[in-house]
Amino acid sequence: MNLRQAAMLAVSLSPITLAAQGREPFAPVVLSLPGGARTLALGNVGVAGRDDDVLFFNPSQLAIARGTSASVERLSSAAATGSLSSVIRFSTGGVAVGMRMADYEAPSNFFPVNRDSMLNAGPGRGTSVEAAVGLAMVAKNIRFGATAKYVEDNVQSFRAGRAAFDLGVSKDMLRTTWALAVQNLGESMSMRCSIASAAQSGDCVAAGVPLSSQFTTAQLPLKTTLGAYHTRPVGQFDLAATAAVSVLRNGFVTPAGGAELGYSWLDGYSIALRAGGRRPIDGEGAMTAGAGLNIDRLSIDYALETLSRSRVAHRVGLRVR
Amino acid sequence: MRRLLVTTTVLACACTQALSLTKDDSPVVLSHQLISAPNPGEKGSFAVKTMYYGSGTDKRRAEFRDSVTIKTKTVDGSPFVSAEPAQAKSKEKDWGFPFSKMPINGRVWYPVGDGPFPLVLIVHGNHNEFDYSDPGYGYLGELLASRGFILVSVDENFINGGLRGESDGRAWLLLKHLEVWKRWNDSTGNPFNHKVDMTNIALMGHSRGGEAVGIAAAFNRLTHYPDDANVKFNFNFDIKSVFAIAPVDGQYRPAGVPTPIENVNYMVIHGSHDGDVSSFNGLRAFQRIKFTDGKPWFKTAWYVYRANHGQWNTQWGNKDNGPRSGRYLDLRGLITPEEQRQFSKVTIGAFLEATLHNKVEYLPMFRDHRVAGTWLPKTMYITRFQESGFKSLATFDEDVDVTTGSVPGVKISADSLATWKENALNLRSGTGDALNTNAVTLGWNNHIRGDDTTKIGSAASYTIAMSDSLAAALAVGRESAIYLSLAPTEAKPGPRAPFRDTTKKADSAKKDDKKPPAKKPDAKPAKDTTPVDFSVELVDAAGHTARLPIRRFGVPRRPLEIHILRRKDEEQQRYPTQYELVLQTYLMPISDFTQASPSFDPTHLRSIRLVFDKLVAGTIIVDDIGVSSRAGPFMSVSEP
Repeated sequence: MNLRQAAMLAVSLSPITLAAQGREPFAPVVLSLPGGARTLALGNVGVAGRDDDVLFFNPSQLAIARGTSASVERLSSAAATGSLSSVIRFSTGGVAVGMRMADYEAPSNFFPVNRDSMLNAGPGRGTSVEAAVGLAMVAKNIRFGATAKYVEDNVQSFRAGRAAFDLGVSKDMLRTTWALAVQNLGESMSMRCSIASAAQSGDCVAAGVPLSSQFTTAQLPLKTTLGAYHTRPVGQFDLAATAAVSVLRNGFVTPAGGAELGYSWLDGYSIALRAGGRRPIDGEGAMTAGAGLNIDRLSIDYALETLSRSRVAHRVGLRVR
Repeated sequence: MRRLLVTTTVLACACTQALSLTKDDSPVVLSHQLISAPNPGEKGSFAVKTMYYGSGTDKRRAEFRDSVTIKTKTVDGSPFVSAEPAQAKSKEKDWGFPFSKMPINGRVWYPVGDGPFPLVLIVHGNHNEFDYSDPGYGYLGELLASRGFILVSVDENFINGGLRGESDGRAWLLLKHLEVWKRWNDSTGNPFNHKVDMTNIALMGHSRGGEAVGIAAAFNRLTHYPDDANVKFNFNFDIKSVFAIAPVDGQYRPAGVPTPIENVNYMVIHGSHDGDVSSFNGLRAFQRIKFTDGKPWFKTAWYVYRANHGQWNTQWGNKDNGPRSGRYLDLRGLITPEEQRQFSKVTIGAFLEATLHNKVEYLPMFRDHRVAGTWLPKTMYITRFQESGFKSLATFDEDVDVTTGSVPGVKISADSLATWKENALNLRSGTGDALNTNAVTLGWNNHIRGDDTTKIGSAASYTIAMSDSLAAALAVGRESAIYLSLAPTEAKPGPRAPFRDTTKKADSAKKDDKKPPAKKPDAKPAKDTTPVDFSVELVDAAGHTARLPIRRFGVPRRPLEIHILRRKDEEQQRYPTQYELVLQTYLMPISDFTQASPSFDPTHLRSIRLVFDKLVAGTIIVDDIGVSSRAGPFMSVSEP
């Protein structure tokens, strides 16, 4: 499959995406959260990235990504998220494992939460988890990849889990990496209405039916993303820029992008400043920024993202290449 | 945050090496000037003019579009230079022509006069194709033209960039330039008619161009292109001299073998701190060159301490891997660009004067650079040398028997050596970068093992003996010279075992056996700064000897310390050793020995002995032991 065919597939998937919309909101919330500190600073665009956390954006790039990283983000006084990923060389590509988790307070028995509602304090306790295994191979200079993952939302002691899949393809052309990914393919998740509040779903309002026998349902946040990544020297600096446009299951289109200016004074040592922008979904703000410090094989990254209602979240990450 | 910055700074400093250089001995070594001829690095008496020739259609450079004095036709270089279709297309877009229509562009510095003047072509190597390399030899053009040479800096920028395996194309283009010059020299009405001495041609090249000049010398004598016999050659120019500046070697292998170079004067120079071609690749070409036609050729190789790759070219500068390579290349140890170019002016000037103008007064500096001490910039040099009269006795390449030499009639023996082995030499990059020659390693320690640390045994020695018939065939006389190339190493063997008296009674021997075993020498050789020295002893058929210290004929230096990269860990990872093993050639006039010992009869020379009597312990690597009866012109000035 060449890039053109991949693009055709993406375009053909979009109507399916759109046709399937209407089941809002999405779950689990962890799939809507950032995957790494550096990518977050770049507008949370990672579809054509080359770091190991590309596992959470586009599995095809695992063919060239290397390293292990961990990052944590404080979203609010009531919510936090973190990720862990590692990729190693395998055959012509790479294989990766990773995990993302979010921990939040919420109004009691609330399912599903979104990026906005999870920030609020509440008497309830929820977690959202993603465990992923990705594989990428190269054929005819085109990288292909797939990720299989298990996702789960927990509310109190009850949980709803599903298997989901990501597919990706990427290629280097014109000194730029071009990438396409379809993420979160899979069936919807549901939770018994007796456990979960139906505040955002109409499922639990069937007249005459006991609440205990009804279910509230949320779709996986199916997303199709087309993006690019370009890097070049500018004098003594290293400039990287990335941009992507995503189409969500409900037809919402989110363009995003970011740039990084790096400076190295000694081989292996560098600092970088980053900034990004995005069209926000519920709970997000439009701006992101960050900085990075590279000490040989170790990278320390910091990112800031604006959230709705003038809130700000901070993320720090460590990466070993 | 402050802690993080402090930690980062400390980490960065910890990885960066302190500047470490071998102590400079040049104030002593270069304190003499024994050649009285004019400094070949200074301008001569000719007025100099410049001109351009080329296609006249160059889309990138005005000098090859608007300023060409003589227009030249394009040539089809596609049999020699190729690329992937996308790359070839990109090249054509960038330069405006395909490989099948390469221009013959050159910038010329020439002397004002009737001539004919020897013709010298210089060609750059690979570099950023749009940071044009050919103007970078203007300083040589000004010098050489003023001294009566025509210098052409050949434009091959259009095959720079990311091409591979194009060195044969670079070479072929040089020969196409020579064809143009021959035509001009033969054409009435051409400004160069009868002004070019086509019997005295030199080719010079830098980096990949340095390999290309050797290939061109080989192609010059061929009738067909080795990789495609459908391409016919008909060059046969009188290329007398080839000069390679920090060349690569082996990027092109005609018919899969190293390029054979024969019957030219050859000189190669290389900087120890070369951040691009970081091993002395040109030594391989030096080893390969053969003199087979009986004419008086010579070859020489100069290793220049603290010189880099780019400063030979004014366009390239001190960052050998591009403008950002200062991130990882340690530039602190480099000699200045002016010093580096002063060196190239002196050596190139002297080499071309000697080989094209036949000014033999410059020849002694190629045998022993100490005779030109005031001309050379103050740094350290290691030099190899061989002229066509060299007859080998022991080059250690022929077999695995350490007692045999390179020719029948040679018998090798050793006495009291701790180390005696023959093995292959490698360049600094390690075993994957073979020098394609073997040498003998000789280690000695004259201390006798035991409690008495002052007890010294007889001096260890290594002897190359010749049979009567071989000695007669070599026809050694008072005008002959002994060749020897060697490099001391840091290795220092442990003390030798005490001599066992076998006439003693058995019980006393048993008593000795009860003694605790002697302490083993340290596996890791200790760093020793004592100057290396030993004696060379010649023995005639009657047993008369003549002995002189090796230091008389040159400086046997321990390895020169090299750190090219800023990061110590990367340096150690990339290079197995922090030095390049370059052997110094010592050409020792036999007349010096007869002067020291009048009873010694050189006409009946029977053996050459290395006697390790000056330094108690040490190790040297030795190669190319031989004699010559034709080295006279190189010994016209005695050693300091």
